[in-house]
Amino acid sequence: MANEVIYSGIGDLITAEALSAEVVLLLADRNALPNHPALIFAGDLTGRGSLVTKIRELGMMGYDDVAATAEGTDVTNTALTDGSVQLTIARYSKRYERGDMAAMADADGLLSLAMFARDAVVTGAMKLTNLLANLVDNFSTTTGSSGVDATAENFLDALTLLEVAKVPPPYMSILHPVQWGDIRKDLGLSTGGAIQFAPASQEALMVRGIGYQGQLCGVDIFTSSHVPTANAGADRAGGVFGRGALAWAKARPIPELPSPWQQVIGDDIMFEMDRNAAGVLTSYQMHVYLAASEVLDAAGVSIITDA
Amino acid sequence: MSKTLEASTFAGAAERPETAGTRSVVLAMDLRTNRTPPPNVEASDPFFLKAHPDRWTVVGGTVVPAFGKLKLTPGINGVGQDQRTKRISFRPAQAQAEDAGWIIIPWNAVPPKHLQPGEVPSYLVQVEGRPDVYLSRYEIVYPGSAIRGTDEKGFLEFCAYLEEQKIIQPPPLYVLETLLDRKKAELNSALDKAHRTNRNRATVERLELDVEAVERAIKARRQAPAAHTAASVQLEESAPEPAPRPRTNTEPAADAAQEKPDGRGEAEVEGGDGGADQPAQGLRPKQRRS
Repeated sequence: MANEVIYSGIGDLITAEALSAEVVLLLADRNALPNHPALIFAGDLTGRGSLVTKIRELGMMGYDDVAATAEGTDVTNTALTDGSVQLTIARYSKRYERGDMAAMADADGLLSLAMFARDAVVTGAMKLTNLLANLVDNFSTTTGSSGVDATAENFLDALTLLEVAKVPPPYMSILHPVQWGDIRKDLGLSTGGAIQFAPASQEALMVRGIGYQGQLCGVDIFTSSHVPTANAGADRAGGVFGRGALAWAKARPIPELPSPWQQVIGDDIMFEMDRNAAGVLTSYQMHVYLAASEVLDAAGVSIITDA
Repeated sequence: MSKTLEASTFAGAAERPETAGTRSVVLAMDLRTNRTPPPNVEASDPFFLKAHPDRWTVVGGTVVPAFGKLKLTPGINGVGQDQRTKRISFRPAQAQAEDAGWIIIPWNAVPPKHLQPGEVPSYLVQVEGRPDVYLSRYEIVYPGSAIRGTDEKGFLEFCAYLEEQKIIQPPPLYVLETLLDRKKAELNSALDKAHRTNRNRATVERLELDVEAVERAIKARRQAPAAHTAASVQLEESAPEPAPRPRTNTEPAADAAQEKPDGRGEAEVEGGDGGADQPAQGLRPKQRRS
């Protein structure tokens, strides 16, 4: 198999003289989304008999208005508005294979079991971010203009559209870093501080992940480089949404045997090790089982602005 | 007595070269100096483009659909993958999108002049050297770079081709009017900012062109108003008669019917307790007295 991490291949990670304690990781999108109240969690499908679940949509709680009806007149039936959305669990896996000599030369634990396990947890969370970021470009209500940088006004227009659609807060926003950068610049240069922006504190970053930018007008802002392009690559399409717009589900993996070689970490991720003694290779594999889907189109607004 | 050394004493001295002989060799090594690096863009899964009647934007001075993407990523919107055959099943995602009003654009909906001879007709392309990256053919990526570009001319021709082939319908008038209102509001906001900062002036120019494009599209569209019939309302009591207008020297009698320009007479509400015997007249034109 190719791409084994062997001693001769990790020249970027070691130096001939003194080794630094700093880790230089390849730039990657390590943003992670938490269980935000704006997201519908459809549950853990393990043990439910199917890896496909449905979220039912029902027009209740005042969705249909009453009609004035004269005394003695039979009231007619009101058609109940309903629908459903399907979530299908898919498997996402990754594998690293490390040689013994690479492990011997690794003085900082970069290629240790702990590091691979930590990578598995972060990668699993990133995958959920990736799935949700790929959904925010598909709302039929949009703000912004193609080829024009995002502004605070686009963001506020999106909030107004959500309120008009009677979407209750709290809202969440997933934007491309370019979009967020444009909005932040517009906040600084044009609004003169009239709009409150609370940047993420270190504690908030610990809870919500590196992609969390803070709160703008009470909306939690996350950025992801997986926000899709639009208009043939001219733009990026992020979004703002409330609860009901997006849903996700997971399936908790079940270890086959109680063994240190196969464990569920972070509650959702199967982390396994495998040994190839003849080739002195140890492989570290992770598997996570996730699904995400749009539910209510009216509960979200896409912001399509210059990339 | 010195002895003259003759040249012949040093056998082969005349033929001895000054430098050592060499021969050229080629080793089985790849210097990788002439390989084109693949583009450094993030991975993306295959997709179908989809258009929604309410989603339109302006690109290159033309009103075009603001396409969404039906992503063929297992786990998203019900898309699955057979683990044995690796085939992707996307019918639930397609049904969900169509229920929401989206129109899925088939892959082969590409203007023929955009295709190379023998090329498979598809707007979905895969980048050489990056089998994990799927793009539309109007999206341009560059070797070794994360920058993306747009083939705007080709994209506009693609949009026009979709309308010409009736795969999508032209934008409804109400959508264009809403878009125009939005563009004008953005333009006014940009004008306010342009008075303070220079960086918004390019935005003003762009939005002015967008407003002109939408206004052109509105003029080009003709849409009949929705059909309607007179409303039927049964009241318990008769509606009060309108107060008589004061007569002038040039006007006819005030109780004569005044014909409205569209041919409709004044509406009169019928009511009373004869509703059970008479059909609901509702509002009907007042008869002009002969």
